[in-house]
This record gives sequence, structure tokens and C-alpha cells, in this order.
Amino acid sequence: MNKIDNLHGTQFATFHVESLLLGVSIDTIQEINRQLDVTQVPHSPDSVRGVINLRGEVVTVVDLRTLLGLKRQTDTHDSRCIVIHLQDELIGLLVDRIADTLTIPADGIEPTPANIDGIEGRFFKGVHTLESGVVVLLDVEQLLETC
Amino acid sequence: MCMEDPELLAEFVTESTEAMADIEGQLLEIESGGADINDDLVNTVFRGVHSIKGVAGFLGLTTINQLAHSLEDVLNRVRTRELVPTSEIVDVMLQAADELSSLVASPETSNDVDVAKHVAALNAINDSEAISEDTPSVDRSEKDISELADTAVKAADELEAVPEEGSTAEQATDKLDSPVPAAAEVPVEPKPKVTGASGRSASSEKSSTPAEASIRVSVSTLDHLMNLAGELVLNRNRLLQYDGLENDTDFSTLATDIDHNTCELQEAIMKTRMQPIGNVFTRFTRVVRDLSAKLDKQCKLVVDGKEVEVDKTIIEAIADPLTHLIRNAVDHGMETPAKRVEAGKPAEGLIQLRAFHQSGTVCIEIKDDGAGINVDAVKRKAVEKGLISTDQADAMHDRDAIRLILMPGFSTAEVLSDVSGRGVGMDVVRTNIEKLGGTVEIDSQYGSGTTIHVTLPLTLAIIQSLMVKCRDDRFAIPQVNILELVRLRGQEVSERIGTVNNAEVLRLRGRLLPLVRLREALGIDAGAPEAEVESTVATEQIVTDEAINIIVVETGQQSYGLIVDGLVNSEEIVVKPLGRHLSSCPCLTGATILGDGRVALILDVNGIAQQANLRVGDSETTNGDEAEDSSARELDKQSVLLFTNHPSEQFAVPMEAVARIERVLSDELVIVGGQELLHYRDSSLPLLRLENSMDAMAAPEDRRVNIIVFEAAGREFGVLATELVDICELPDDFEAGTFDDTVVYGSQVIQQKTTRLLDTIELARQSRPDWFEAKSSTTQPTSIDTTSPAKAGNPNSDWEPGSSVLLAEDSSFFRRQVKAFLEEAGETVIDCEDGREAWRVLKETPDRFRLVLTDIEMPNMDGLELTRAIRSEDRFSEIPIIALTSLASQEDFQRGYDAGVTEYQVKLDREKLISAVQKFSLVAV
Repeated sequence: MNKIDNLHGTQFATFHVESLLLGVSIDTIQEINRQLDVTQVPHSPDSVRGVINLRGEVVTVVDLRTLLGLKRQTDTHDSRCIVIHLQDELIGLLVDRIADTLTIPADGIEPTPANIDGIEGRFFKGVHTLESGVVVLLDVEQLLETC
Repeated sequence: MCMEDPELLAEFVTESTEAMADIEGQLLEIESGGADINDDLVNTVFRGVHSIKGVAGFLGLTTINQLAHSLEDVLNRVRTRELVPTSEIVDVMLQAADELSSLVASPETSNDVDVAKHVAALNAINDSEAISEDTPSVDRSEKDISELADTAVKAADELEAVPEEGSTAEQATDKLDSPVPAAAEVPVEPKPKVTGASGRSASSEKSSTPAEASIRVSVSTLDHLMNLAGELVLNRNRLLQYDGLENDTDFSTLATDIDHNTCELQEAIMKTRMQPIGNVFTRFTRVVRDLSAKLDKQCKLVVDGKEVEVDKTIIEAIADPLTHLIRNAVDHGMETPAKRVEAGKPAEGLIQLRAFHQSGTVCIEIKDDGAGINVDAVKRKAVEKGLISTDQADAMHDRDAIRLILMPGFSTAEVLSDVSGRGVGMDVVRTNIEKLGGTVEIDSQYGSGTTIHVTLPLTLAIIQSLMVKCRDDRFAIPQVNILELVRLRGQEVSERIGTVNNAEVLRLRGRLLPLVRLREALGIDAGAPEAEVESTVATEQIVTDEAINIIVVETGQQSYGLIVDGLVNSEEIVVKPLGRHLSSCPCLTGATILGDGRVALILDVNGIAQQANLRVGDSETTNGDEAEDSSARELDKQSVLLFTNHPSEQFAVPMEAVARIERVLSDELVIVGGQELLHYRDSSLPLLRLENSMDAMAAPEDRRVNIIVFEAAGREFGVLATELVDICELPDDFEAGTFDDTVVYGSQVIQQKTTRLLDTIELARQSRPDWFEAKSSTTQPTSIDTTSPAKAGNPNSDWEPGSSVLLAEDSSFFRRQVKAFLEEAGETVIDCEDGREAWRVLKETPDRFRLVLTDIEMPNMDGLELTRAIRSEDRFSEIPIIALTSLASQEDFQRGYDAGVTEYQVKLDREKLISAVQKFSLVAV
């Protein structure tokens, strides 16, 4: 990565959910932590794991697997909670494993196919091809709108 | 218009709104000062309007500019003492200020608003040398003005002669005002001298208090600070744990210091959310002023306790209910001046608005010296609206009756006026205040005024709550919702918890309270999916011997018991909102963070009631359903009178047993020879008190009592009743034997209350056995051992032919009643549970009976079948058969007659039935 890329690209934090490599713009991320001990909320939507105390604020934690229509899985040592800003609210996204931070230039983002591994394309902003495969860039707003 | 800079515009809105925020109060203060002008005050208002004018001109907001300009001119003349701010002038200014406030709130559209009216009115004040009293925009004729000016000059001249002593000068000013009302409004030259002399010194003193330095901070910043302080508290807690481990004095001191600092910090931050309640109170001066003018009333508002501080959220939420109460006080409470004078009160009514702290809450009192609440009118209205029955109204205490105005669907105003009746009633006020965790109480003395007490918590952000356990999770229940805690152990569980219509209920002091299991309501019971919650409630009976904890909670409409797994503790919690994904969760209102850093959810008792499908008045509907269910069995209906002795215990007596009801003053009751009596129509009526005859709580002392008069053993006697509740038709489904008391037939839950049905004859027998001894000595000794139907099959051998009456009745209640009063009339009665048994008894001892009394609806063999069976044998062709009925149609009668019934009699119509029985006895003998 050189300086030019940094200036003309967006930084994405990438992470794994099942076989997928997903990315979220780093600007929306407040922090990534291991706070997996959630308080379950009765009658909450399926995709909501529960709530956590993030330094005095009650933050809803969403299971990204369930949200994407994948099977829920027990947490592992690699599981992480990505806390993102979303319209004045903090929301935690539970992911399987954190990967690298990538800087992707605007022209490096290709349109999303109709679906990826059976997951609806409307949750994605686009894809970026790496040597090892593709990073699917999440449309967080759209995604969290649905749950 | 210059719209290219929205930021500038936004800043203008903020700044102008701020300047306009207090203008109303300030103008009113200027008005009350009259000629005694407070320079600082007028200057403040002037500057505010002036800067609005300036910025509006710069932004091209011509309308705002124009209006502000005109207003500024008037203020300027007040400032320079060319104008005395009379209420007419202030009126115009207030209206203009209102318009200006709404214009600056939405500057984008302000240029389309027509403000000509206001501008004209303001300019009229400016242009005219004098302003007429009621039409400020119309100039008086010059002659008038000069005349007025002359009088004013004279008056002022007189004043100058007076030594310049403050009080006398004021008196003189009054003099100037009163004999020549218009003179005060005339801006005459000599006047400034006078007012200047007395006024300036006074006003400069007033304004000596320096403005407190303050800055604006957004609420979200404060919330953030709150959170951080909360987090600090948690970290402190962790730190304090080490304190015990480390044997280091320095560390100890440090930990204690941090502990103190943290507490203080939290308190200080809490305080930032507090605002003086005066912020809402100020607007009411205007409300009262405008409203009384509109209604041609004279009212003065006196405000006390403006400085009392309350959480911002409460201040915001309380404004509307308070406005409503104040408007009510003026509209409904206050009489017209004429009426007030007639009643010997000052023409001007006084409304006092007072706020003060009391044991951790804020109390607000709204007190008027108006007409007070007419209790009778309230009751009448409530009856008309069907909120209560006439009997209830008669029995109701004044205090309770006044509370009726807080009921939904009640409004005392005859016609909906645009003043108070805007479709919202006092019930909305009550609901809104209760939502905040507050209460409303009304005190009223008819003729001399009403006081409304509103109690509110200091803050909504921190609430007292009870932490409970459900599985491993902890939940908070707001203390305001909790009525009491009930703990049941071992055997009590099965005794106190029952099932009504497949739902669990708790017997609590004579009431049946619906129960909800928190686990099920929250759907966190393993293997109990939500949809099945209801049915699991029904099927899963409590089999455990463990103690169970029930929290009796109250929502606006109902109370119910919540079964939890355990109680943790009671603590003050900071309420945090839930994110948007969870905002629609039905059973929760928010969350909080516990001392150990974990999140606990706050339960919404209302939502749980809905989730568990508890409806308002659930027990009542349960009764209804039961009646429907049992209609298949064609249960007989029984009309009963419901009454209470002690308010918490409800009793019922069959209407047929009631001779009449008297309502008397309690001092009319006398005690003669240990017997309480009521002197009545030249004779005396012996009285019984339930608490003396049975296991019942004593009636509270009251000025008036109801006496239910019964007849037994040929005598009348009265039973004291505190309150007559209702008369209703009930299925004859009394649960016998719940109460081990001979005077109780059985019990049933009526209108959510466990009600004991009384055997009035037994009641009399217990209290006055002598009556019955006398009676039985005159009649044939009868076999007493016939009460049990089982023994009816083995009738005593010492019967005489034709001596007895055979009674077939399946309902034990009716059986005992009918048997009792027939026996009392001297008959021997053999009773049977159904037609089949009666038929057997009759066949066994055919000569014994001279009469058959039979119910129609019975299991095994009904009345008609029994009749047909009897008539089918020749030997019984003559025996009279009286069919007992509660309600029957003509067709039913016909069917009965066809079967061979001799006569129909209404059950429990004692007189008629006895005479019928005796009539047939005579025939038979």
C-alpha cells in the first residue's frame, strides 16, 4: 500500500463469518472487543444476541450470522464484537474472526452479484477482489434495517 | 430572502428563541410594575427585540424585521417613560411577542405571514399621544386627549406638592390612576418627574442582583457525563475490592478518596439535569390572565416555590397536565365576580400554585378559593354516564365521589368548552402524572374551593426498583408499580393459588388476583414457546413445595401477581434506553447497569399484562365465561344483594330474603339490654353485626349505615352493612365449604372479590337462638336430623302419613334455603339431590308425603321426568306437584302442566311458596 492509495481509498476492517470475508468501512467502527457475555433480551428478534454494557451505555449486540441467514454458532476464542456507529446509536456485530485492515480505492470496488453464497446482494455495497479471494463490503445500514 | 446560509439561520433561530423565551414573563412584570418602570427589565426586553430586528434585517426576513421594529419602538417609549405600560398596551405587546416568537421559530416561512394587524396596533400606540382604554388602535379625539392630559397634569401637579416620600408618592400615583382611569395612560410631561422620583430608586434596588453566569450544554453531553460517572462508580467498586486485600494505608486512603469523589461527581452531574420548576410556572401567569379575561372572571395567580428543582424530563412532561389543572381552576373552579361577591368573597379569585420538596418527592399544589366541587353533581353525572350505579353513588363517601372526576369518561363541564374541554379530561391528567410515577389527590370543600395535590419523583433518570431473579438473569421492577410482596410456602401454595377458567389466581384477602409467571411472560422457560404460554399456564399446576415469591404489581388499570424465581435486593437504578432493535419488546421499558457491570432489563408491568393476555377486569370476564360454560348445565340463576361490612370483605344475600333496606344515621342506633336496636316506626328492630355472628372483620365507624332487613322466625331483624355494592344475577355455583361457617352457604368470586353468601336464617339463629326456641315450642317437634340429603333415603320411622313435603332440588343452595323456610313455617321436609332420588324416596314411603316440590333442571332425572314418573302411577295421581322455577317462559310452563305439574312457584319467593304449600296441605288434609 502506498500513500496515494491511502489518500484515494477507503479503509475497511475485514473479518470472517463462516466462509465469507466481509468488510466494513473503518469510519463507522468505534471499537472491536471480546465482550461476548451478553444479557439476553426476552422477545427480541432472532438476530439480536442481547445487550452489553459498553462503558455505561447499553449496546445491542447483533449476531451477524443470523442476520445473514446463516446458522448460529457458539462463540469461539476468535469471536469478536465489532461496535459500530449507526445513526446516533452504537450496535455490536458479532463476527467469527477478525482479519486485516485493507485500503481499497474507489475504483477497486465492483458491483455486487445478485447473491453471494446464497446471501441476498442487497446487504452488500460491493466486492473487492484480492489475490486470495474476494472481500464483500457490507452495507451496514441496510443490514441492520432488516432485523 | 437570504437563505444561502442555513447555519446562520439556525443560529438566528436559537438566539432569537432564547431572547423570546422569557419575554412573556418580562412583559407581564413590566405590566405589574406599571408606572414604576424597572429600567433593567425594559432594557433587557428592548435589547432582545432589537437584536432580532437587526439580524432579521440582515437575513432579509422582512416580516420579522417589521414586527420587531414596531415592538421595539413601543418598548423604547416605555423605556424613555413616554408611555406607561398599562395592561392594554401590554396586551398588544404580548400578542405581538407571541407572533414574533412563532415567526422566529420558522423563519423560512415568516415572510408569508401577515403581521399587519400587530404592526398597526403597535404603531397606533406609538403614533398616538394617548391610548384609549379598550381599543388601542383607535385614536381618541384630540379633545379627549387634551382633556385627559389636563386632568393628568393637574393630578401630577398635586403630586409634586406632596413631599417625596416613597409610600405617599405611590398612594398619590394610585390616586392618579383611580379617579381618572385614563389619565394614567396619558403620556404627559410632568409625570416622568413623579414616577421617576419614586420609581427609579425602587427599580434600581430590585435589579441589583447580578446575573448568574451560565453556559448552554447539550443534554447528550450531560448524558454522556452521566454514563462516564456511572462507569467510574463501577471501577471504584473494583478498586475497593483490592482495598481489603492490600495492607497499605496509603492505598486505603486513596481508595476512600476516590470513593468520595466519585459519589460527589455523580451527584453533581445529576444536578446538572435539574431545572427550577419556575420554568413551567411562569407561563401560567399568562394563562390565568388571558383565560379570566376571556371568561369575564377575575383571577390572580400567586406562585410559590419557583426555585424548586426537578429533573428536566419531568419539567417537560408536567407542563401539559399542570396547564390543564390551572385552566380547570379558572374555568370550572372560579365563579364569576358577581357570584363571588354574592357569596361574600372578594370579587377577585385567588389561585395559588405552590411547589415544595417533601421526603424525596416534589409536591405541587394548585389551590383555588372558587366554588369547590359539588359532590352531588359529580355523583349524578357519574350515574348518568354509567360509571357507577345509583346505589353505589348513595353509599359513596364524599372523598371517593370527588375522585370520580379522575375516572375515564367523566367530565363535569356540561358542554365541551374550548377552555377546559378539549377532549381531554382529568383522567388524562391523572394518567400522565401516573406515567411519571406521580399521584394526584383532590381536596374540595363545596363553596370554598378546591386543592389539587400532585406528587412527583425528583427525577426519572434514577428510579427506585426491586431487583428480581428469573432463571439466572436479574430484572428490575420499578418500585412505583409494586403494591406488595407475597411469599407462599409449602402448603400455602396449594391453598392460596387456584385456577379460574384455566388461569392461575392468587387468593389475597378475599380477592382473586390473576397470576403471571415471569418466566412464561418473558418466554424464557425452556420448551415453552411463546404461543403456548397461555396453555402452559393452564396445564402446569404448581407441584413444588418450595416457597414462591409473588410480586403484586399495579398498572393503571389493574393489579396482578407476578411469580418470580427470587428476590435480589432493592436499589436505585439509572434508567438507560434500549436500542431501536429492542424498542418494540413488549415486556421491557429500558435497561440499567448493575454494580457488577452487567446489564439488567427493566420490566414493563403493563406490557407483561398484555403479553400474558390479562385483560382489564379479567376476573370479571372470567365470571362471564364461566356462566357461559355452565349454561350447558342450565344452572339456576340467583339474584343477590352484594354488600360489604369491612370494605375488603364482600357478602351476598339472596334478594328474596331481603325484606327491605334502611339507611340511617349511626347515632339512631341504641343498645338496650346488650341488644343493638333501631327504633323504627314505633317499634324496634333488633340489629346484628356480622363480626359478632361470624368470622368477619369489623365494620369501620361511619356516620351513616345501611340496614338490610330480613325476616326469620316470624320476626324482622336487621344486618348492618357499610356499603351496598350491587344487585346482580349469579349462576348458582357457590363453592360450598370454603368457609367453615354455618352461616355461610358458600362462596363465589363476584366482581373480582371472593364473596360469601350468607344464610340469613342461620345468622338469626346464631345470634338469637331464643326466637327459634319459642318458635319450635309452638310447632310440632320436627326431626332435625334431615339436613343431610344422604339420610333422606332412610327416613325416620316416626313419620305420620301425609306429614311431609318431598323436595327435589339439585342446587344445595336452593335446597337448604327452601327447606329452611318451609321448616320454619312448620313443615317437615325431606330433601333429595335429584329427581331420581326423590322418586326412590317417594316409592319407598309413598304415604309419607302430601306434596312434592321439584326443581325442573336436575341431573339424572329432571323435574319433568319426575313428574311424569309420579303421574304414571295411579296412587300418586292426586298428589300435588309444585314445580320450582327461577325463570321460565310460557312454553316451559305449558310443558310442565302437560307433564302433570299442579302449580308453578318462583323459587325463594318465600311468602307465596309457603302459602302454596299450606294451601295444598289443607286440601290434602
